[in-house]
Amino acid sequence: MFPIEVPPGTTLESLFLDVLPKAHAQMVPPDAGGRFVAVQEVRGFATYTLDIRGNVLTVTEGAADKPDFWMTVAEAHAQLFLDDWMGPKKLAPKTFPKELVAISDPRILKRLAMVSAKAELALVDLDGERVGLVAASGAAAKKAIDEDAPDVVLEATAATFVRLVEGTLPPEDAIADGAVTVRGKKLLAMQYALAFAPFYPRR
Amino acid sequence: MRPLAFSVASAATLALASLTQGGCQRKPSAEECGQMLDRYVDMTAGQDPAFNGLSEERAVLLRAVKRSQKRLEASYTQALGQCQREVSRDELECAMKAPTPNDWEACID
Repeated sequence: MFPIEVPPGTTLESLFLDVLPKAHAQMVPPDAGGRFVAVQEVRGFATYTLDIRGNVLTVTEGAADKPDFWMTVAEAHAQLFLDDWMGPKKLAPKTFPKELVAISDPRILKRLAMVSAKAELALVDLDGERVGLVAASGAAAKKAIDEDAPDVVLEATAATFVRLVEGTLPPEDAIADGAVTVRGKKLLAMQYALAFAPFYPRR
Repeated sequence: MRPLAFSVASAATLALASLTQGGCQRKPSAEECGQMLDRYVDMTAGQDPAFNGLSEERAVLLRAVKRSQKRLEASYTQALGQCQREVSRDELECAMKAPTPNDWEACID
């Protein structure tokens, strides 16, 4: 997720093709080297390939072969996030950490790609609904997109999500103290959490 | 050195296969063998780029994660059994003092 201004009238298409590339260029420093390819499937809507080279994010329609990451989300759930960003902003942090690093930053992606896993990430209480996505990284992302049988399922409330994004709850602490509940391979969840650690604001 | 994913199996399976028994000394216990293998995992994990930039506190946590993951692998269980059967106390003590993974492997070659 990007803590970004989403202009009124943004659609899922313009979010991927316009808003995200601009936010990436704004948030990622030019010297953040590395190239990563991610495929984003919005089920029932479209599939995009995100080609990330340093602070340049190029989005094209279609799915690249053997990406470094893939994510799949139902169109309705993606729309819920978008509607929230443009409306009530329940998932928007009230404050941002000073040293904010985008999740699309190659320095973070490099660490996430070291974890080979398929994970389901879900918010359990967004407008009374469980809203989630399934993502794969590393060697696991080289396989075809398949949302079934994730290695690990991580669930949190919207309030916990906001604390994570605000930089007030380190991901590894959220797992350790149960704010994020984990089913399946907890060790993989901890590896993901620690991938963020060097870039997480110090308290 | 072989990749970490296979390192415990390679170090403790292939190398141990050629060992001779160390006289009448007491064999290492499962706990001691576990510590010996953990030491190897810890040392090789230290070369893992996933540790770059982590605070010592977080590195300790990640080392524990890597160790736990390794223990779930069949090769670890196999190496543990082989250690108890075939490693001498001298070799165990040598491995526990080894400063690098290569030295560790040399102890049981």
